[in-house]
Amino acid sequence: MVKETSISDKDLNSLTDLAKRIKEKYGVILWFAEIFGKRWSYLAGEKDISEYVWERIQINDKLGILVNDWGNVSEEIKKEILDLIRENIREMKG
Amino acid sequence: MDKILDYNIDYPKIIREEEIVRYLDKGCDFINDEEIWEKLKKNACSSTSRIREILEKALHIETLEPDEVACLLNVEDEDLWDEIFDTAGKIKKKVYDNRIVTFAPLYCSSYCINNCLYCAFRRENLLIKRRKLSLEEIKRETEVLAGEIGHKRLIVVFGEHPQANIDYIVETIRTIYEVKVRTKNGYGSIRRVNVNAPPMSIEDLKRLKEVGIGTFQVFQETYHHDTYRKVHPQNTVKSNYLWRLYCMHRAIEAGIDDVGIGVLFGLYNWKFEVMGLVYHARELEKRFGIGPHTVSFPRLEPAFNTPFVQETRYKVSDTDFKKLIAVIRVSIPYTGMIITAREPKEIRREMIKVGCTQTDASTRIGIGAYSDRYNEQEAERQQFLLGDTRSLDEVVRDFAQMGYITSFCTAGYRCGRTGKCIMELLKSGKEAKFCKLNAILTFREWLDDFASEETKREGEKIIAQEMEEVRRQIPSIYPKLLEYYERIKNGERDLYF
Repeated sequence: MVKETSISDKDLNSLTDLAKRIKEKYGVILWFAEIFGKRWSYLAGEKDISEYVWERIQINDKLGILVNDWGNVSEEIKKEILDLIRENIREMKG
Repeated sequence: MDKILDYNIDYPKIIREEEIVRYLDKGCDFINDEEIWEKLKKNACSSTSRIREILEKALHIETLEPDEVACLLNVEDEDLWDEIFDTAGKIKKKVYDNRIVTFAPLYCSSYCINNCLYCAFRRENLLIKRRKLSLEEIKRETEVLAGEIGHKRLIVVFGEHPQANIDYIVETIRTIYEVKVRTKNGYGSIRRVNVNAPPMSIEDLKRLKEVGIGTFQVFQETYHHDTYRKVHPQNTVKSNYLWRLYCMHRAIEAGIDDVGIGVLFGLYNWKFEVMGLVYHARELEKRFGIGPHTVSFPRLEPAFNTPFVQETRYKVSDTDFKKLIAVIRVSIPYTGMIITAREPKEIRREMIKVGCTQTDASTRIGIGAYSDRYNEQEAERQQFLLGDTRSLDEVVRDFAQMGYITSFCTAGYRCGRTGKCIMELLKSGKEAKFCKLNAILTFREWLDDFASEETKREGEKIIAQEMEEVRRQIPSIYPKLLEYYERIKNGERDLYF
């Protein structure tokens, strides 16, 4: 039995997979959250954090990401990661 | 009869049997009274080495087994109790660092369809003055709480009544979040609204989630089935033990991943109730991988025209109260633990040391009491009488003198550190670092906007101490902490890790 989110299990698995791929390819640790007003509820992503500074980025009105560690990535790579995330989320909504 | 007190309630619409039955295990709930008593009897005499083994396990932030909890509850040696108290304090420090989070309760409605024998708000208590706050009044209360006292976290409290339905609760929360008040050097607002309300359906709980609730809190009152029946008369919604017991299952299933459980100590045997709390925590962990965000342990207090409180034979002494708090801390090491202003200041000071992590101050529990500005308690407006009516300023100063920093942190639930995620961070000790950092920042805000000169003097000492600990323990984050700290001193607000 799992807690309900407004996205499907299939999409949740996609987000988990995406966070993992981003960490493997870019060394960036982030996680996905579902947004309800002030509340950003954890959805998926790497829980083994290494930093204490977060960057919160809202992707759409319901989903956001929290980047725990950008590492030494350039602004260009950051943009590449964000574009990848947005594209994956668009695909999730069909 | 006044329409608002009409008790012709359609119970089937409130209690949804399918939202109970789906969680039962072969038709049974997870509290087996006989099993609990068997474990308490079986584990009556544990050796010192056994107790120390259990304490060592707890120090690794692992939830204890019921047999282990029973061992602790049955300890009689006072020296061993000192070891338990010491372990409880160590666990709290490891998981939550040196901070005490503060909040205020906001009672919104005293109308109730239930008739609980121990409660001044029970429907047959015709002497109580009933009131339900309008949204405008909620706003005024919040302006005082956020703009004059300096709270950032509230728990809104509702009796069970159609007039305080989910629509009202949702609008209350929305109204509170919209309040922003100019203060001395910045602005005040409420950043987290927790809810203490009746058990709800999954459909209603989803609405709470969508409005941005913090923690959803419902106390079982007593886990003992027979006692529950006796104190909750049969012609009431609250008489349904299972509807209440499984409300956190429904909450988590609805997507609310921060839930708070509790017991009203004094209704039944305190050792049994501690076991009940642990069984509840373990059940949630087993089903959802998420234990309770908080555990509360109010004791029965005098209540207007409520003789039950004087008559109960299960009142918990101060000595036993300290023991039960320490055992809860050791048994569910990751959970937040709330001690409230029900308790007098001497008791709160003592219990903080054995694992409590949250408390309230400047508390007024009469409906509309914050903006009505009355200083004496009015028993006929309140659910019970408070033991400690000190201001937040006094309590903060007291804590600082004891060596604790008061925190107004609301960062976790705004950064995805909720549910399973925050549980893992708490258990690993990583969340304690966030606790420390955010305590410093939010305390700085409060000192600058609200503290008296006397409290500010004590507060500066504790902040300096905490900053030095960050510099030594997490040097990599110290520059960032300094940056945020200076920005707050310059008037920025709501910076957090």
